[in-house]
Amino acid sequence: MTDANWHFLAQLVVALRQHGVRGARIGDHVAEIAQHLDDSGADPVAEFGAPGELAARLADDEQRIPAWMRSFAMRLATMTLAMAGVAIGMSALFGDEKRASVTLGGIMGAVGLGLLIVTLSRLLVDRLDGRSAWSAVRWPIVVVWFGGSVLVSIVGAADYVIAEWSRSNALIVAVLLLGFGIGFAALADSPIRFPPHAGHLDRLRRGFLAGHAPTPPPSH
Amino acid sequence: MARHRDKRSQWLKGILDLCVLGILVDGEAYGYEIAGRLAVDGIGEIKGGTLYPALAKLEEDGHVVATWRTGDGGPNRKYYNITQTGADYLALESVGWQTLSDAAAQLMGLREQVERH
Repeated sequence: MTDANWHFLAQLVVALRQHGVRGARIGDHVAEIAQHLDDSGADPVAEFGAPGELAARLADDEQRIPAWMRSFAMRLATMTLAMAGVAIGMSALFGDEKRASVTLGGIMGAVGLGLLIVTLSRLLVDRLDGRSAWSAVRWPIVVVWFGGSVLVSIVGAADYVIAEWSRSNALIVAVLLLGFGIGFAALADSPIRFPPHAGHLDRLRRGFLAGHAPTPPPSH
Repeated sequence: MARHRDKRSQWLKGILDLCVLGILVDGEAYGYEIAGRLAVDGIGEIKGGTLYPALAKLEEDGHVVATWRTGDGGPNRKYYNITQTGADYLALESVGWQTLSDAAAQLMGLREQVERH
């Protein structure tokens, strides 16, 4: 590697750090750009522009949360809300008590079921794609579910009642939770990011329009 | 000539991601390889300073996935593969681009010229 390339890459690393880009992504960018410079033999500034400007463009596209985590968090939220809605609804409809209650153990169960369904679906999809998803999901599973369940068991708080409603109110809560769950699912499966901004809404609108056949230009 | 290049780079800004996805539909490729394909296929020379931020955005949006691998006896390279989300995005947006370019060609009188020839 030439001195000019080293100098350029060193400046790029500093500029990327200043833009708050994660270390792993900096390594990715630098290794890829170094390889491109080796392949092309081009002058780094002529090919990529000033390091500061390049870092700004790369950082602009950088999300602080990785794509898989956004997707995973969204699906987990979806499934947890839906599972909680189903559990509260079942308790209201078929429970022996006059009032439906939400316990800490019940919440852990809903999160656990959500995790299980999301993980299995993710593993299935990635298996079909020929990739392993385990590295992406292991930490949320270990920390949130296993850790939380152990903690709840240790302190004996599984039966701790967090909320209690009359059956009719519990049914309303269940419907609301299911509605939120379905809404999150719609967001997770759409091409937009969460939380949405104006650009996402525009893409969503164009997505709806794309359901119609394109209008041919008028003939003169 | 410089003005022509400016105009061309303005057009490309809107469709570079689609062109890259179109290349990846044929199979995985690394950055320099993609730049070469863009040049050979008539899109023109795309500088690394334009291409890599576009690739980073495609990756962040989940339209491509990247893996580092060693080529046949060569150096480590970051290979990009199109995802199903990327393929869906390409299918959706390419229809929009086709509609727009047809309308623009019509307005510029290009269609009549082509039909006359």
